[in-house]
Amino acid sequence: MLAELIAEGVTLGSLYALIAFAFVITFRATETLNFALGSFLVMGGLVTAELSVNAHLGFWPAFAISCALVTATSMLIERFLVRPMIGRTLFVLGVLTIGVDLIISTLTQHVIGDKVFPLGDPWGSKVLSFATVSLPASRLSALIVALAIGVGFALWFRYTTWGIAMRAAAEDSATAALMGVRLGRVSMVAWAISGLIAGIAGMFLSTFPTLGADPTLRDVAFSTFPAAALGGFDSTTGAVVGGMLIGLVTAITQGYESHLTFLGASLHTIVPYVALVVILLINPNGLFGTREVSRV
Amino acid sequence: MCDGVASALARGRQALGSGQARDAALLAAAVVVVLVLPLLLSPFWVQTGVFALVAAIGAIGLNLLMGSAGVFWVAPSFFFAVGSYSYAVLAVPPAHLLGQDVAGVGLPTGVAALLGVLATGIVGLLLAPLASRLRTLGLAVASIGMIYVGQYVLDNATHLTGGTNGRTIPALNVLGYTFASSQSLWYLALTCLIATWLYAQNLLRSRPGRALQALRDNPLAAQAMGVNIPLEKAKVYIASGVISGVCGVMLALAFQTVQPAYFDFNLSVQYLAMTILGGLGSPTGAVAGAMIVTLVPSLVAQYGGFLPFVNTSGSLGSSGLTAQEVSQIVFGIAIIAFLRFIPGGLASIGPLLADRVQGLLERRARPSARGPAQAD
Repeated sequence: MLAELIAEGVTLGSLYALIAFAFVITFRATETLNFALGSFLVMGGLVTAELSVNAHLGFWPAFAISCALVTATSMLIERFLVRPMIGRTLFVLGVLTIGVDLIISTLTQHVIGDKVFPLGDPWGSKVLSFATVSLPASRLSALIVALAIGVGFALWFRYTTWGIAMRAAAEDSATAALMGVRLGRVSMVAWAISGLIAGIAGMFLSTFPTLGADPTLRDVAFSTFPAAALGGFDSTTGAVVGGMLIGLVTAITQGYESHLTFLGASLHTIVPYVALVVILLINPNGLFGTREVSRV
Repeated sequence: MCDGVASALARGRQALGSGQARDAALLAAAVVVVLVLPLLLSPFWVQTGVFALVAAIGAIGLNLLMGSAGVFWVAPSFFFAVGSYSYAVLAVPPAHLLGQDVAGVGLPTGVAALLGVLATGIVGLLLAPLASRLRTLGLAVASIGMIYVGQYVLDNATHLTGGTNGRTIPALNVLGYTFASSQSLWYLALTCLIATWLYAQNLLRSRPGRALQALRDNPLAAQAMGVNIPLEKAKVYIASGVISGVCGVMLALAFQTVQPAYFDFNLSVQYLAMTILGGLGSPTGAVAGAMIVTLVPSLVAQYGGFLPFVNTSGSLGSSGLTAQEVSQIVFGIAIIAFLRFIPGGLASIGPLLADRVQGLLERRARPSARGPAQAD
């Protein structure tokens, strides 16, 4: 039981880590906590399902178009809504994305309604078994893809010119700009990466054991906020570790919930927040965050 | 002629006197209108009006926290739920319904309402230490968590909350008078709103209010000037909690039933929209924002039939957006547009327009005055 829950937690955690990473990367580039990321996830699942099954495009083309669409949406939001507001307070930028979320969520919710949107994905409800542990094939693929993306971006940040420019811009934007880093492009690339990740994660989170495109992915995105907060919102390492932790804790709580019936049926939905509050009370900068320097 | 208009305007200004006097005159006019309205409107609009008045109370409460104290608090629905459910539990006697025990105290409803408001204030006080420990975004995330924790408790503490079915709410009875009709609730909500508005207005113009604004604009400088940050924050959390509690109890009375699903993130976003549209830091703006956000969905539902993409028939087969969905999209766009172009919200538009008009008149008046000088 526990081994299986841990395996499930790791696969779920890898997706949560990706989502938390998507939060952090836009925060580092534009100081914007993107509340609309949850609606990007829903959009990723929904567009894939709509094109793959209802428009008979086949799964992979549908998935590719969906990712392109979510990425483009994210880039447009950066270019036309966020960039003109750079320099305003964290509060203003955050509420701005709540407005964006309201629009996209209302539209996706309207399309989904009470219908089920299966993705027509190649994994179906296949389950793979290793000794005592059995895992859905879709979740295992998600883990592999998440690892590949994670390693890919780590190398990209470390060695490519773009990666170095992005790190420089996050560290000290004024100096980076003087050194020739084009801040506008850097922040647009950050939002593009964030959108791409949301498209991919949204698709995987809509496959088995989920029935299809799912409006509650918005709640999933919120539950990875604590993961991003664990790293103080500006640490990609923190986001990845936090995401894995929250995936594990969520899966394990969900698994043992049936033994803890007196605690009700949805304990796993609040565990991430409880963990966050405890950690932030101990250290307000999170586990990996940089200490804030204050000037009057 | 322009001179005439300009001087008339100046005279008008003198007659109206200071901003405070003008506000008072406007308030008095508004009060007369809202006193007469429930006698003229149809029951649907009276009911909608009650919700608008109640929302205005809640918006003032949220505005105190967000606008005046600069707290990134996105969980007003949590406070409202505490108020609503406290009233439900305190006012209803214990019962055995549908095979399960339902807790209750069975206090007189007036006492229950007061205690419900008090309970929300206490919850606000309990949150204050948490809030002063967390940074801006930590608090935003914690308040999102508060919504989910609230939902979890409301769903699962069935003994207290009735679970997903919620609880029925008894009408408020004060000194033998029962607030049962929509009209009576209208007047009750109006009284509460005026009291709340006066309180918030006074608070912001007094010493604690100035301290709050200093604290919002620059916490360190405020501290250096002798503002006791934890104390001031605790005060504003209590004030906001109490006001939100009033809103929560009034919401329960207006709905006559409370259910967990109502107090979700979307409700909080609605109040966020009210605050942004109305203008951060302005109680009057919060009232205006609340009116817009509450009334637009009903207006679209009643008169939106001419819009091609709106489904007002309520038939399930139609693919058009519902009035609620249309308004949500409109509010989303409005939040974005206001933050970008009118950060002061509706509260800043009035004075802005007056200044523009005056500036226009002065510019027109000037050439005629300077005419001879230029000829030299």
